[in-house]
Amino acid sequence: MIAKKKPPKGRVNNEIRALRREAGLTQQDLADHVGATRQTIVAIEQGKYAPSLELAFRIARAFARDFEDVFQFNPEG
Amino acid sequence: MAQAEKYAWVSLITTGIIYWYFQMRMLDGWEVVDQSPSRLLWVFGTVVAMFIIAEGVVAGFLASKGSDGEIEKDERDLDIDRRAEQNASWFTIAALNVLIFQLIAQDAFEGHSFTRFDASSTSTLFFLLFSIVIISSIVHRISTLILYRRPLRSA
Repeated sequence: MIAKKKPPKGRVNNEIRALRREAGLTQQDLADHVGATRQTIVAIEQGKYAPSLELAFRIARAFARDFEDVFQFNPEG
Repeated sequence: MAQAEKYAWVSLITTGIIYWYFQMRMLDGWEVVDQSPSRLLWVFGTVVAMFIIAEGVVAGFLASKGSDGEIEKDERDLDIDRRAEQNASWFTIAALNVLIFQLIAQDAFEGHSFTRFDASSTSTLFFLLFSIVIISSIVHRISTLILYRRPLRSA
C-alpha cells in the first residue's frame, strides 16, 4: 500500500495587494496581465488560494519584482 | 462571482429541475412504476435531450458574456473543477457499491424484513442507475460551489 505523505506545516504569504496599489493597478488589470480571472486574484490576495508556480512567477514579473519580494514562505504558518 | 461559478449555480438548478421531471415520469409516491421498454427509452431520450439543451443554453449564454466567446476559466477554476469531478466519482463508486451490496443482501437474507427493490424489474434498475448518474452530476455542482468558498491549496 502506498502511504500518502502528510504535507508539512507552512504557508505562503504575499504582498500582491500592497504592490498592486503601489502600481495603481486594479484587480482586473492584474488579472488580465497574468491571464487569470479577477476572482483568482482576489482569492490569492486573501490567502485563500495558493497559485501555481507559473502564475506566481507571472505575478512577480507583472510588478517587475523578484519572486521573494512578492511571495514569502512562512514555515510556521 | 467567477463565470465558472455562475455556470455551476445555473447548471445545479437545471439539473435539479430535470431530476424532478425524471422522478415525475418514473415514480408514484416512493414506488417505481413499471413501464414498457419503449416508454423507458422515451424517458431516457427526453432526459438526455433536456440535459444537452440546458447545458448548451447555459454555456452559450455565459460564453456570450465572456471576452473570447468562451466561459472564462483559469487555473483555479480548473483545479476546482478537477476536485469536484473527483468528489462526483467517489459518490458514483459509493452509490454503485451500496446498490451491489443491497442486491446481494436481498438474496442472502431473504427471510429478514428490510427495504427491498425488485431487481428483476428493468424500470427499477433503470431508475436507480440513472438516478446515480444524475445525482453524481448534482454532487459535482455542489462540490464546485463549496470549493469556491473554501481556501484551496495546491494538491
